[in-house]
Amino acid sequence: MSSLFKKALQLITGEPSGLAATLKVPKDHTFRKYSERELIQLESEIGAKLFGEIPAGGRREFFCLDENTWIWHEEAVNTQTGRREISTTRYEVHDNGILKVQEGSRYMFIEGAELDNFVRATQLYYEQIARDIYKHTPQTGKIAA
Amino acid sequence: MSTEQSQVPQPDQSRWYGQASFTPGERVDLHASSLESVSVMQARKAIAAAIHTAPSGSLEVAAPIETPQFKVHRIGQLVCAIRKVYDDTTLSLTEEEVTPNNMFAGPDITLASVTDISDRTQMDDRKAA
Repeated sequence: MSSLFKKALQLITGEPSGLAATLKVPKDHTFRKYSERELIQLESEIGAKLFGEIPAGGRREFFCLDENTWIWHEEAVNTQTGRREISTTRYEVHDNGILKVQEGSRYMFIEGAELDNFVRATQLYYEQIARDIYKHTPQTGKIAA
Repeated sequence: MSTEQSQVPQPDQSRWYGQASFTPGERVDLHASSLESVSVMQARKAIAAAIHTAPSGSLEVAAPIETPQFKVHRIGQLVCAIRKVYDDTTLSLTEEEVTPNNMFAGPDITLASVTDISDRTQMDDRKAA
């Protein structure tokens, strides 16, 4: 397993959801730093909501792992079988396209509506994490007034 | 295919080509061969750079097409850059850099407040488009 994928899996499985509740800054505004992992988990809580409601009992993660890697993780209960289904997808940015990597599936470059939706999702991800976590204006990258 | 035909230059599919006519201080009219695949921001940058070196008249510009993978790569760079500012493992802010606006803002940063995704700001280039 590549170190990149290990890092992604650790991010996905390492912490329970609701991390934001434990990462609040004290009221006295003492500056507190966060690790990259904590920041990614905060971002992922926003990323997961970009795609609509998460089904009851399910779990979703969507985050930017590094400049060229995005991770989608989905857990849901199959209503017919009652089984919990888990899938993790890695999207790799290459010069010639965006490669979708799923365990047990053929690697493929995404195209059409899937590609459009993915690009749009990454744009929204940046806009929302910049504004809501980092308090920066997405268009300028500067601290919001 | 004849030798003559094979020597005809073929358009570079990875670039777009445009022409602009303008006078200093006035509106620039842009005509591009494939503007639909180019962000307005990118076109502006290319034209601004070209005008800088050719102060009046008309000109032709060419720039790489902004492919989806290029867009996503650029977004990834932006995300990583902004994240690094707060990442304990990559950068330590000095006391002077710590202001109320560049730290997490306490109660109002709880992510439960991030629910209205219809309140989306568009990327600057999309606005311009």
